[in-house]
Amino acid sequence: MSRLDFSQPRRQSVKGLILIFFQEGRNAIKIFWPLLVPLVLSKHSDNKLLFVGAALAAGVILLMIHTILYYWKFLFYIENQQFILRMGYLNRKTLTIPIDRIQNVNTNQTLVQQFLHVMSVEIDTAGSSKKELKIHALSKPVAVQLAMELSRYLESKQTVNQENETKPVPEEMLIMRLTNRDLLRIGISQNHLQTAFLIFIFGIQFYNQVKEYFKEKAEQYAQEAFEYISQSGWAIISSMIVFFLILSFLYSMVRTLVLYYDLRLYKLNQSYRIVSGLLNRKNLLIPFRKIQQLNWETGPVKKLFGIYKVNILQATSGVTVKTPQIELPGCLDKHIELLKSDLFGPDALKDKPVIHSNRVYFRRTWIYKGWVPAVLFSPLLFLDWRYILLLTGWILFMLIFSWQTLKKSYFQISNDQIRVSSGAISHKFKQMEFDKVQHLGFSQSIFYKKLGVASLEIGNASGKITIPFIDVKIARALHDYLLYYAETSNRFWM
Amino acid sequence: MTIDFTNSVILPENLPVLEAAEFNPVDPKYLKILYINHLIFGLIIGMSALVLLFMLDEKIPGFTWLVSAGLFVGIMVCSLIITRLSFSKRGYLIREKDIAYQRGLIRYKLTSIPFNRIQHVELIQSVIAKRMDLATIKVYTAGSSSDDLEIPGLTLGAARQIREFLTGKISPDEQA
Repeated sequence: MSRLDFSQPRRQSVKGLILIFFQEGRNAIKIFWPLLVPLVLSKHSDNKLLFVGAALAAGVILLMIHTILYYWKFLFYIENQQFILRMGYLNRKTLTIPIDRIQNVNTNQTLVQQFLHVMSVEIDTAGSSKKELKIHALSKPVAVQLAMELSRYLESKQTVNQENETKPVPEEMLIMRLTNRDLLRIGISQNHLQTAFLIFIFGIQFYNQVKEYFKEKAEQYAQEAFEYISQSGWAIISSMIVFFLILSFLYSMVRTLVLYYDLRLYKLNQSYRIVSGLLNRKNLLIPFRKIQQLNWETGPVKKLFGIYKVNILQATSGVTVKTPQIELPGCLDKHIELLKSDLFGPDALKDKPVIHSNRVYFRRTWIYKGWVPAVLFSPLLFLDWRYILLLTGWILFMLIFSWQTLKKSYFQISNDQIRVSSGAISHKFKQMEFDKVQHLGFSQSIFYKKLGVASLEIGNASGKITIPFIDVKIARALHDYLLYYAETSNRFWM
Repeated sequence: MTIDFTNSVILPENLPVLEAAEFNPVDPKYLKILYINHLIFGLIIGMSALVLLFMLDEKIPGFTWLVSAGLFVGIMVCSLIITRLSFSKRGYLIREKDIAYQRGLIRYKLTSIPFNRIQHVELIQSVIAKRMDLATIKVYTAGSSSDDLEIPGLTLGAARQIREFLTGKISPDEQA
């Protein structure tokens, strides 16, 4: 593949015309649809048909002219370390982005784009709340090269920052790849209860919608179904639960396949690149310095397979733009070790003492999640005393749940980083470095003041980590230490 | 990443302690705003409850009316008392290198932000606050906005001063 020269202004792929046409057409409909309303509502006549046809034809022709002009005047190039985008034929607009302000360059390919052999390139400038910059239709080689070219600038900038000498950018290294078998495991280990519940809720909503349209029939069916259920009782209820679980399982499988098909994680010098997806092939580049926090979690089924779900949290840029957060399901132990050593250096937390949450955390979780709902639902007993079984069951279940919550609530700390464990059924870990600290929150409820228990919240640019119910002295000391650390640290958090 | 990075251990005793420092109270006039907010909130809840009950179009016994009205007033009064009692807990502190705000009696919370993490500072005045010459300072950091620091109930003069001071503290290279 010959290297392309991006200093010359260039246009999008010609095939992009189709994309632009539909995109701008959609925008036009969004703006002009109120004009269509009287047309539809007016009386039917021969004239009307003619008029509608003429208007439609005129609209399409105008849109085509607009598309061609838009395409023709949409130019981009790199000049003097700046990425420049010129667009518009009536209102000319020039966007200039200094390359060292660019945080991320991502490419994306939707199904339609795959069909047309084009890709969109997204340029993310963190720190500004400006709308993200997106070029919708570049032929694949151009898109890949543009992304590479810009990432090369990013890489070289970081190398200079880090070591004051320019190292040659090494080849990408494939760290991890999901095979179809991995996908199967991931699909199986999803939280099916949650999904089944969501599908159930969705089903009810769907039923309500449908009811509006087919009022009588729907009610009649529902009536019959209800009678049927109430007659055959538990058998039908349990078979419905099984039905929803199977539905949820299928949904999880499809979702896993669509999102994570052939997921590949590459490592460059100072960044990761992730490619994944079946219909919509995503390609994300994340520089290490943008990464604020690493989360990994395992559950009962995941543990059987020895897999973790990993989330790499990036600094969110601006208020309006949503920065993609990276999810890597199906990671093995070795992958997590690799990620940790890349992001946090050699494991400094290995032999550090484990500090657990106070025992009151168990009591509180049990009361709030076990007893309070049970008491709130206790009027059910007036309907049927047998609900006592359900309520006691819930309280007993929450007893185990709360005990697990306490057992898994602990943290380890070194001079410059922290790892916090949480979860009840699943087991979650969150790890961050202290120079990523943005804000600190110390909180204490009046009920726990006597017990000397408080909670600490450590905020970074991607969210926050909460350490619940620890000794107040530890919470205070950590608060003061982290504040001190953030104030004296001269490494930039991003 | 941690090569050439030294970090000497600081003993806890040598750390600057935030607890010991004196917090500045917010302006007493702010209590009035809190009361007004409370009343408005109570009115909205009460009115919507009434509308809902009338829409139900069912005879509700006088006793039920009395109990629910009493309960509602009781909760309102309790929450007003808590507001009054916890008012003295509100306070802010500006030190050499950070800013902190504390509040809450039932649930005490202290939020601190180092100056070198501030993205930008905003001065906000609601309609009621404007009449009383009060203002709110909001300090933004990178990331989520829900956890950013907000100091309500400052006199306009103090708020302006704080804003100027903090804006001056944001070092230029961090603003990029």
